[in-house]
Amino acid sequence: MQMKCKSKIAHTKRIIGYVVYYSVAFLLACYFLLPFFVLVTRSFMTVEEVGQTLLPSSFNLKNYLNIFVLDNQVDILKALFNSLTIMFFKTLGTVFSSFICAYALSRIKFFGRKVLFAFGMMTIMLPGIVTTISLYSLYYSINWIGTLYPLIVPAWFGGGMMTIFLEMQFMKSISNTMDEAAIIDGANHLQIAFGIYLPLIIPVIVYIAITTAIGSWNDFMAPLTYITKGSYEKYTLPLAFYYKYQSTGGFDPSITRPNEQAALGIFMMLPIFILFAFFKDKMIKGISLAGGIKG
Amino acid sequence: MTNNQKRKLERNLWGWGMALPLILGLALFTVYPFVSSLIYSFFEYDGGFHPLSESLFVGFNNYIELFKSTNELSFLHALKNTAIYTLVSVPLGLVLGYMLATFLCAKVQGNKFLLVLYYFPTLISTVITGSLWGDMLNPEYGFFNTILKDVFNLSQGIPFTDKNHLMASYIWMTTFNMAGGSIIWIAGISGVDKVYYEAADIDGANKIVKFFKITIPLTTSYIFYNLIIGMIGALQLFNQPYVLTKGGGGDGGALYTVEMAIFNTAFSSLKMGAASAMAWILCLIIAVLVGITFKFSNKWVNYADEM
Repeated sequence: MQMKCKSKIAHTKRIIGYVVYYSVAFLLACYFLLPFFVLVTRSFMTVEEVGQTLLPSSFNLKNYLNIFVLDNQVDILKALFNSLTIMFFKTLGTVFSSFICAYALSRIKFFGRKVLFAFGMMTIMLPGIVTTISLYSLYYSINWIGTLYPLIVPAWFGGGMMTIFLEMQFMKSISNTMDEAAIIDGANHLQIAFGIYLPLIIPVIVYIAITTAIGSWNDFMAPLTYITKGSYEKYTLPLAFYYKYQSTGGFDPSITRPNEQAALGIFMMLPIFILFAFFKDKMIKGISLAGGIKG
Repeated sequence: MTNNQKRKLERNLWGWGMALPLILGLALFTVYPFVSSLIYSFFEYDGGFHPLSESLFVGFNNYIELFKSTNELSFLHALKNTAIYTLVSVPLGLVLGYMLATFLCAKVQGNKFLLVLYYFPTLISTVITGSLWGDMLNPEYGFFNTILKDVFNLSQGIPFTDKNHLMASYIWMTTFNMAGGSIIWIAGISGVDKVYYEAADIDGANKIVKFFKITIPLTTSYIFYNLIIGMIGALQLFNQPYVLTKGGGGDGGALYTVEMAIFNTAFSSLKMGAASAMAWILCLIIAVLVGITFKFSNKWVNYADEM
């Protein structure tokens, strides 16, 4: 009799636990998704409805069409093309150059390797703004201001020490015996790197590719700096968003058109949706691996 | 050449060759800009419209001028804003994010789905969220005041964007992105060996004790990582405040961050010399704070291989 009572209490406790947990989870979901909810509902509203109602009266797609209308000389379609171009070349450059550098630093015992590594690691902590000012000057002197080059070219020079470091951590756990076997068979370093190491660290490569892609897609400050206000043709999407809706006028809704902004915002999230949907398992795995500093 | 020397040379050539992107990258995009920006900070330089050779040398003047003005858009005011933001939002983010991570690590069905659900909004571009939050906080027609006025029948709503409330409103807005840091902790918390909890259970420890005496100590390396990243990020805050205030810093410059000050000085006023000086001061501040944090880290951070 006592046993039955005890397990019943435990059972009830567990059910209460579940109810509490899921209620809290639901409330949290409402909280975190609130901005997204506002964004989605606004994208279907008219200008007058914004700020007056919670839900749009109808799901008209007018706003989604209007974002492509040229105004303030901002062309969203061109901006889309620019953002895609940058995303592609920047990601490619980062993955490729960080990989060969990580391989060289971890597997080739060349002179100066330790110094190079230490020096590279020191640069992680440096704030970007210091280099930005000088780089602007440099780019100005070679006529790269107002072009997409400043946003793509640096990625081909190692892709950032953090990326290299992350890959090195993964390469550490691959044993040398395969290298040695390959060397006996006459393979050179490129063949070893791309033939053996690359396949083995695919998860972290995927993680790096996706985070670089998303980062470059959402990047605002760099395009704001290097693609000056007059170079309409070269705006990236975040920049186009800013110049089209935000940089002018006070907070007057008929000028800033928050409903159209919301539509553009949702539109800009599409690649992220897609990347996330396809790669979310790999991403989560990669994030936990990346966060796992000590294994 | 002996065989050994040949092999060494070959190894070095391969190494330098494959590491060439990094070597050139560090030289071109780190060392050169760093050194030249230090040089610029001693001149009145406009970024290249006039060459450096024709610019006025002013010694430490750029640095000294920074500490003279305390008006709304001054460097000192920006420093104060950034300091407040960092001191409040970093610990807040750490605590809330950690709690969220613990919540998501509970052995309940669907916690992975919840993580994805909460993490997803953090991927929205900061330009969009900055603009959206500015909109939602608007005192007249913004989302929050509309709810307060219509649903709760408050006559006036809260002045989120005036200079006394803007910083607090913004810090509140950052809590919507809490799940971003939680991801790192989830890896850490779920990586704690069950053995410790089982041993604690045998000794009769309750949940709270287990949390403070096992979970937290064993995840300090992750906490440390997030602390450093959070600190460096907070000190360089730019995107959202810039978009929210259209570059102006908001009412009374309440949301004017150091990075915004540097940016405006460099690219609006074209005073690259002064901006470089500001950037270097920021650099020093970050270096000192990170250094101090590292120095104190061995008092409280445990790394896995020491356990």
